[in-house]
Amino acid sequence: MNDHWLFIGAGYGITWVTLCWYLLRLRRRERAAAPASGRGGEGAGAGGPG
Amino acid sequence: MSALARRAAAILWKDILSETRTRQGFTAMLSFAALVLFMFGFAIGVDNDLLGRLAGGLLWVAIVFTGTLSLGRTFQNEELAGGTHLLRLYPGDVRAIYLGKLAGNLVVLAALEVVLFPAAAILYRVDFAAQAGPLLLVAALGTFGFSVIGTFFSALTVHLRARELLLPLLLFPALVPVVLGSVGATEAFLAGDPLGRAGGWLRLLASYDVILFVVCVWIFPVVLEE
Amino acid sequence: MNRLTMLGWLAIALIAVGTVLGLAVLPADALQGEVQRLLYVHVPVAWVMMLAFFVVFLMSILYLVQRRLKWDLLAVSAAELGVVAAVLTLILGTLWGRPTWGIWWAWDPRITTTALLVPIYTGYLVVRSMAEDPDRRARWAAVIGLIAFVQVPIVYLSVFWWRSLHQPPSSPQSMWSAYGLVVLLGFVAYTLAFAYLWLRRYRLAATELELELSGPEEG
Repeated sequence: MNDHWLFIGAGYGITWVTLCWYLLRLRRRERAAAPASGRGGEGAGAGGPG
Repeated sequence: MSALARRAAAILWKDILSETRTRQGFTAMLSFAALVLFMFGFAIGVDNDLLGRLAGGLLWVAIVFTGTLSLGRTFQNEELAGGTHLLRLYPGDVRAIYLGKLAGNLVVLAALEVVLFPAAAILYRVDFAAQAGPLLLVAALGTFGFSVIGTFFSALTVHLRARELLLPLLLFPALVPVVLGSVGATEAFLAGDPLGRAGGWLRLLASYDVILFVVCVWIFPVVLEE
Repeated sequence: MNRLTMLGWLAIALIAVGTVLGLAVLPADALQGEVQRLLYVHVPVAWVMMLAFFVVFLMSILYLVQRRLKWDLLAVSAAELGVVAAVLTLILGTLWGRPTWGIWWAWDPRITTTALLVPIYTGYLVVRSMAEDPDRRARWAAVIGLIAFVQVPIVYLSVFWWRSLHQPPSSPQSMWSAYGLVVLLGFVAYTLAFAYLWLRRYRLAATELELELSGPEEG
């Protein structure tokens, strides 16, 4: 066990966090846009990953 | 002289007239450039060898900073006078507007460099005069590249809020080849070009200038569309 | 589940498989040791970045030719993902470089050009956010997308020459030998993830544009 695992863990961790962050951000913006556009059910992509 | 060149010259002449009538803009710019040269001296310290070695880079950074400030005024004067759409009322190809403004920026930067090169030579104790011919070529290519990109992006950003910030943001990354080429060639010539590097830098500068010039001229009408 | 959602789940699943393979299943590299594992992510993400910016270029051209806002929305969706991928590429690269080279940053042409891509396309996004009229916004953005694509290869070349004055560019070439399969999996997984996020982001952009055009003072 060496400290390289710290870097490796950080790398994989950041990648997953970035993915989740972007998905959540998308979802938030979709929620904000969907009801006002009057097409509530369609645009949200509900149930999608993230 | 073709119609396009005549129209471009008319715009250049209009800008030169309005510039020489006041001249405050240019005086302020020149003072700013001198201050930048001094700031580098203060930041680096009175190490004459070090300053001499860095002279090429410092000089070009001063040119880029000062040039960027002056670029902002390229189309802003038009905005103050009633908007760039008035420029579009000129008959003929709108590319003439780009070429005229480009020529104007070239004149302003050339005037700036006439003062800046000797000033840097004195302050940083480098002998530009010994390599005057090659350095003139470097300055011409570097200045042309800067103006080609700068004129284009200043037309693009003139309508935007926070254009003072957006112009450098778009401009500086695009200037990387210009800065690397100009500084590389300047330093190579100052050192007597022992490694034969200057030619490569000049070719890089020249090709980037040509490519960007063609693309910018070609696409400029899209920028000014209403 | 519609097809887009399925694409998303497939991408996530493949990335998860790649994570397990890269972290736990594959042995450490003979030359580089454990830290090699970072390249299974770094390289595909860098590929997605290049793909995204290439898509921006293509969509910009299509917009300039056809003048349909659809292309502009596709371009901005890719640009946003490209910036995210570029930042992630840089972070992963430094995390790999620190244990390998002992330094966080090297003035390597690829690293430097990647770092320059971030402000270039951030500028693209900021210009868009400041222009109010959709057609003007699309026009200016397309112009920047086009110019950026012209300048980036020359930026790379100039940094390459600049660095060659001092040292040959250091680059990890060894990885193409043994672990090609996992890297390939990464390419597929992250490309699918890009496609999913891109299309979903595009759908959002279309909805937002619709809102902007219908609601008078919204957006």
